Amino acid sequence: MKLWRFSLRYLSRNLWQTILLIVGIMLGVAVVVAIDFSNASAKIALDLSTQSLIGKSTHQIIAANGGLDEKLFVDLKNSGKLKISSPIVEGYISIPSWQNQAVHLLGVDPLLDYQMRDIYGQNTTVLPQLLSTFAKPMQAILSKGLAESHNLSIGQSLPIEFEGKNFILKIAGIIDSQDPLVRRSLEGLIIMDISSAQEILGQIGLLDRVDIRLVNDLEKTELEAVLPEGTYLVPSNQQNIQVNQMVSAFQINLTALSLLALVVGMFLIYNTMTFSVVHRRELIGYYRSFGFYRREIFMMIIFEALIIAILGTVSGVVLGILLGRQTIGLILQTINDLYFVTTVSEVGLPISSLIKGLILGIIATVAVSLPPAWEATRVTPHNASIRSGLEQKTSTSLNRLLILAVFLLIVAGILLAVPIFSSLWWAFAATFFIVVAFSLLTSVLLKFALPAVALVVKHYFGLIAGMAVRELHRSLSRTAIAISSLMVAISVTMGMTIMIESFRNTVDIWLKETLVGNIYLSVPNQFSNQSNAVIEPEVSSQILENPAIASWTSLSTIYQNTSAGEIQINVISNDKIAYERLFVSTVIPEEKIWTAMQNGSVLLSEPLARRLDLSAGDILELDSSKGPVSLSIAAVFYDYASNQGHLLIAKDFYESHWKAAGITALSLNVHDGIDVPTVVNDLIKLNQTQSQKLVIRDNKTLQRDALGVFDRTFRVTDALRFIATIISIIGIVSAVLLILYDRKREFGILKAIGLSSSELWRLILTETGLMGFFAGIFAIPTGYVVSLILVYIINLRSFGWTIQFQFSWIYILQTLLIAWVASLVAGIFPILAINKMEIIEVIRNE
Amino acid sequence: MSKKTMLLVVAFAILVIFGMFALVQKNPDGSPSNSGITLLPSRPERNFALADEKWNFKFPRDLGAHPQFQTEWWYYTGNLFDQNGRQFGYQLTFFRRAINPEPLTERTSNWATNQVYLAHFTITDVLQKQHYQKEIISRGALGLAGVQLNPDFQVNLFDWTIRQIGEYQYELKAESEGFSIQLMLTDQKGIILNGDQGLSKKGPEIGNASYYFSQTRLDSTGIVTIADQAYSVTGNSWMDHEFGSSTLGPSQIGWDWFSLQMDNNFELMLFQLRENDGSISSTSSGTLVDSDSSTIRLGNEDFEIQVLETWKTDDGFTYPSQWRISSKTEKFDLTVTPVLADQENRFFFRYWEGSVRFEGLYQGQHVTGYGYVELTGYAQSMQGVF
Repeated sequence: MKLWRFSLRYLSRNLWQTILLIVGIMLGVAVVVAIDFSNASAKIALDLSTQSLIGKSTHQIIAANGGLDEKLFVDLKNSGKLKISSPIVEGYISIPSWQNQAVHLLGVDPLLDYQMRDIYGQNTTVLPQLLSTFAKPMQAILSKGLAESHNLSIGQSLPIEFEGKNFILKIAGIIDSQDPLVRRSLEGLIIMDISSAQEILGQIGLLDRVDIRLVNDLEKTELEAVLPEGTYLVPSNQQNIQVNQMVSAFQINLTALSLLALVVGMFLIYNTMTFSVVHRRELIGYYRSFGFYRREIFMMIIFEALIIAILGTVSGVVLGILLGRQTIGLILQTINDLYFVTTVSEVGLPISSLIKGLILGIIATVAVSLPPAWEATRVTPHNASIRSGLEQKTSTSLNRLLILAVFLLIVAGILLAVPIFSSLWWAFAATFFIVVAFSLLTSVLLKFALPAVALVVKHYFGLIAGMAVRELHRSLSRTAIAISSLMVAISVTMGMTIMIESFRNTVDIWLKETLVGNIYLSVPNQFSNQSNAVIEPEVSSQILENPAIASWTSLSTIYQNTSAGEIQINVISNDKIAYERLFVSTVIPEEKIWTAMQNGSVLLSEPLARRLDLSAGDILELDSSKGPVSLSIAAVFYDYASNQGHLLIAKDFYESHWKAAGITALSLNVHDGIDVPTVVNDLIKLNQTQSQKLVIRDNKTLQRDALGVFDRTFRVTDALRFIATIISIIGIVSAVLLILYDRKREFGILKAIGLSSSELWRLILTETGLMGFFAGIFAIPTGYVVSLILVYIINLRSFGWTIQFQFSWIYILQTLLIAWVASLVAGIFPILAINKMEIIEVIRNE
Repeated sequence: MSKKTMLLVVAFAILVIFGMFALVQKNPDGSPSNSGITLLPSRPERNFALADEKWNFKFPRDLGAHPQFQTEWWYYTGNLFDQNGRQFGYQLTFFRRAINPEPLTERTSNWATNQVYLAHFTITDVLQKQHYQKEIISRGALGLAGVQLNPDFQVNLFDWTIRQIGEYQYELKAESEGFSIQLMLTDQKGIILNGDQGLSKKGPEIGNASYYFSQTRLDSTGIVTIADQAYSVTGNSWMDHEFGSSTLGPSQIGWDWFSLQMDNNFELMLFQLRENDGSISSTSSGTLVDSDSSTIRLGNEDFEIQVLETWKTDDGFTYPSQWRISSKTEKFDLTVTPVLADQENRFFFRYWEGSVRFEGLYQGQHVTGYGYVELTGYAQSMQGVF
């Protein structure tokens, strides 16, 4: 006889239970796959986007502050110091007719660039032709994918926008490659002649960089020797590495959160499998008395788990891919918002995500089924029908559980506190241990608390309610697992909620504190919140003539390359800056900060200070064309605009050491009593007649827009929280269903001895409601601890942001409500079923 | 479990797995349609000036570029010897090709251009039987490549340059991986106008011609470096400067060009244009330069070029490899032999350009000497290229 047939029969007999299990695994696996898939895709997109930038170059020459004088390139080239080299002028333009899609405009000299990039094909005779195409202004070459997806063909024109200025490109060529990697790196790319690129991007006389291919170290040393002050020779992949490092923290965060969702799912599987074994003790006893070996019983349970695992995991992977397709857009958007503009969006499906999902889902399911499978082998024909034996065992193992819980908490504490475990993964491992420890403690506490609770409940709510509590206590072997599983599910959801809400609240306060001007002006930039696009002086001076404006301050954003990577520098003219920032630490009193800044003190945002490992009072050195300048750090302030961070420097001081930078944003204050929206409308009307379009917003709109970016960043996290909630609801429903199903007979007897329908309702609903309630109660401290770790450790390590922890009872009520309502709802179906049952049928076996 | 349920489970699993693969397969790679770049078809520019009448040559002005014409080149070739008599041939050529004749208006970028420059640099090491070659290309902008007349004539492409440093003196410099040259050239004969006072007809159609002048004997001293080994050399160079817009007629596929420097201080330039059908175009011609720089024009009927030997490239193209060049009117009969058979340049366009040695009779006197020969249209038609 084949025992696996029993397994299949058991699964199909308990179809609802099986389906719930499959759905539970499916959702858990789907979340992991979706996040992994979209993370992997985002990484490929990022790599491809940077690869088209790097080409075959080994190094790049860049200038400390952006523009490299083109004459430097000509001098180096004409003196024979540069061999294979290609000057690049590039930027991100948007295409209004494609919903303002970001497109990377790569300005090259094809005659120099063909040795650098694989995009020109093998036949070099295309080059003179290419140059004749490029000789005409505004002629552009599009990737085939880009052209096809927008139904464009050669000869058509394409209107584009850059920093509020409009241009019309003519599509003079289509570029394609047989190499799939090259082809994808071309996606989202418009190639133009370097001359047209300079004209569109306003970079006359300047290069963004020179790509070079160095053959040996000698060439490198020789080149370094002739590079003037303020220019650097850096490895080409440096930027890629930097971007990857920053993005990976964000991605690990998401992966770990998705794994937490899977953990929730696993708890539920463990719960269900354990229950199904407990439920079948008698049956297993019969199998044993028929002569089946323990080994066979073990395999039977594992086989069951495997069937569920395969069905759940495979459908989870499919769902994960579907979800991932949606998620990737969100993740890329966040990466664009926070780190780097990616132009590749359609990437293939990373097979590794599928395999990871399959292995993880199946192994995890089978692994959590091992304890119940072992449990099943312990059943002997003799003790099969005696539950008390099982309950007895549960009590004695409580001590062991307590010890294990304490041990896990100690390990978690070490992982969080000891500096060598500073990687994000350790922090998540610690979170996992803490969650497990709390779930173990839940079982222990229930054991001790339930009898007392029973007394109280009986006293206040009557016999039936007291019976319900005692019933929970009596059947602790099953209910403890169910309640602690639910607790885990709820606490993780709660922890994530508190983290997100704290974060949002912090950002909200920060925005209000920071954005104190009435009206803000900047150059439109859809793809990044770190624009350094310059407002044309004639445009701003015309706007500033408006009589309603009482005062204004300017901000110039520039990027300076340093040995520690690129640093964003905000040059400000705002003498009240010290009152518009919240400081992490200062070494100078607020009222003296501006004076100090006039003399070379600077303010660092928290993420930058963290990245450079500097604090208030330290010295930061920046290169200028006259040599290095020492800047003392007056204060470190909270900032959530980016996780790369920036520094604030006074305009007068900056301009005495560096070339004056163009204004990138203006903050206006209007005279008292003047209606701000009216002024905004006037300015917008004026701007419509000007050569450069600006974004003109009052501070409320700007705050709202900034929060919009924030919400976008957390949309994935939100989605994860939502799925975790769904999984926990499924868990609650299936756990309650199982327990009630198991006690069908008991309810039959109760009915037989005269329990009325409404009393049965009360009994069952109290029981299930209590399960939800206890899960919710124990979830509060767990969720609280999880959120503390997420806020103070994981977010700080991922983004460099200190979030103000915000604990609100609303979230707790919300969590409790979800747990409670779900368990109540779960009780309804079995009651309906039991009420329909003929008593005689139920107790026939007795 | 009933068979039906089991079937359902199996069917579900299969469906899910197929669904997964359908999703995976969504991006079918490797459809090998167009690789590379497809460009807007460009119309041939018709507004270039034509070499249709005599040119009023003025120097140094005409040493410079003539952007109203589509094509122009500055051609330096020469034969050099070190103190042990070891021979090196060299070629350093700058080509200018205009994309269109219109001046650049409304362009603010310094990179904007309508001129492309190519430069070819070769050294033939006779002893080692090596022909080193390198081509570079650049736009004519920002001084990356171009011709200047102020303060003196200079043509460059990156660091390859020829510049005038005295009334008759030029400095020539070029460096590539493993071989380089640095020469001082002193003009012995002045500017020699070829053809009809510099108008060199190539085809019967009006405008199928170029303006063409030479410096036929440039005394050369300097250094040739091959694989980090420097050789002090002396010898003679030859300069050709030619510009026009429609050099070859529609049926012409290439030309054979000879520049020979005789040891009696005479020079001979000859070219013959070859037609599709293998015949020689009647516009083939030449110039004989006397030791006092006076010239004699040679028409197609005045000379005969007979191929004595051929050489086959590794991929099957055949080039002539020895000639008998004779003239009844000017009474010379010379046998011209390449110093090395393989001096083919494989660049954007493929041609043979190499050092030759010759010997024979001129006016009954025994003469010998060195020169350079250019053979085009054997491996690739020059039609449309020049």
